Amino acid sequence: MRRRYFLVRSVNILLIAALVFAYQMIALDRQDKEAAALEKVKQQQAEQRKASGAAAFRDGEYTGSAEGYGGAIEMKVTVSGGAIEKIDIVSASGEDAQYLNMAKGVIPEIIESQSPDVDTVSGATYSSTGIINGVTAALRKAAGQ
Amino acid sequence: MSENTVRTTKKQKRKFPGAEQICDIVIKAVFFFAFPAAWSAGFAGVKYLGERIHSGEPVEMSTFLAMLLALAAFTMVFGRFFCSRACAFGTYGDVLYAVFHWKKRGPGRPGSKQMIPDAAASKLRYVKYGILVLVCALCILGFSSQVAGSSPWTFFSQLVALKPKLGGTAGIVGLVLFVICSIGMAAEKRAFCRFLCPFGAVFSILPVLPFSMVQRKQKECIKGCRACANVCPARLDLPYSDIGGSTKAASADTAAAETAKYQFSMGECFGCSKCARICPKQNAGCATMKKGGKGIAWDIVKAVILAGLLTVAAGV
Repeated sequence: MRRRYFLVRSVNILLIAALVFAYQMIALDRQDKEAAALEKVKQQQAEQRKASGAAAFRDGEYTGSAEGYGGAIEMKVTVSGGAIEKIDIVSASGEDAQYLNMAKGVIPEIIESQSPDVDTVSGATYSSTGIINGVTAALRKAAGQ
Repeated sequence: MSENTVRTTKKQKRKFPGAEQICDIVIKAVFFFAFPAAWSAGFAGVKYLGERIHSGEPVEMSTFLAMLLALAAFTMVFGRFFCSRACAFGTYGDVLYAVFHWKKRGPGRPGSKQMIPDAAASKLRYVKYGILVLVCALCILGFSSQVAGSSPWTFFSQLVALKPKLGGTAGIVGLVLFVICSIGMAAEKRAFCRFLCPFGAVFSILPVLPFSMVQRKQKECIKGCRACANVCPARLDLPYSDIGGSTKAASADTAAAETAKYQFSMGECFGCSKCARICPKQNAGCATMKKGGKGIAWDIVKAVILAGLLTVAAGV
């Protein structure tokens, strides 16, 4: 009886896993195609940035802090060659570890787009908003405002 | 009978908690304070899958998904130990219920008070599957931020972290739902978990390895004894292994009935071990849910494994 229960319920999981897997295959295929298109756009943008000559930010290390989920999050932005090179979290003592981990996902996006104008991580809205706003505050200093 | 009369005399109205109860309280307290967000983060994994399907992006390993997978894997091996011991919302409900039933409480007292009759409860428990489907559908359709903001769990986890934020209408909806859930939990054992919890619905459809599934033998049962059903927070009527099981069936009909009982009710088992502890003949239980010292040892083993899994998942 217990074994039967186990087998019947295993079918549930296999079905769900199969559905997610099928979706994953479709999505990966689509992502490859999109990535190729995006790469072209990025190259163009980079060329434009070079051509305009004006570095967006002054080189150096800047810190900025903003309200996260459970207090202030302090961020450090390293600018070199006029571009955002590195972003570190200096302190985020009020954040839950798993949420902060999720929220960290915005950092590579900011570096990639060279702008803090990125979407928040859903499910970790407060923490990711704190990171984004902290970086924004730091970049304001880098821009000399 | 004599035990009941003894228990109702004033002096022994409340039995001092035994080692099993103390072990339960310690495990619950540790998980409540160490992993208050485990359940909202794990369920965020379910919502994450829905959001990905909405956006058309491939699924990537993330902390939320890791929490979901860790909890699902653990449940498939040990049953819903997470629900009975580690879930912060469940512990909150247990405390509420205990406070509101302080005077009337007593383990397995016959006719223990229940607001919702069993017949209605056996239908109400399907509501949680509806909520799970609804939440998934809303995430797939792109309303995940509204869902997240108005969920009572969000409000609860903020409360646990002592930082309630009442942002906009969604936050107020969350507060109202939280109050309703609290009233339910105070009135009826685990009302939220049994009838409304969508994460519980996820656990209910998972297979559980046979050695972690509770059952009993009919031939061992004392006639008319309903100790296990009365003490069960899910009000489950445990199936008989010796009727529907591998041993010679009494009749095909009863065997089929027992198997059906297993299929439709045992996903509701929280794995709290209370039936195994109360049974005067040590008839209810399974390999990982036992009475006395062995049961305590198993509980500690499960708690350590679960804590380890959650810690690893939180770092993904």
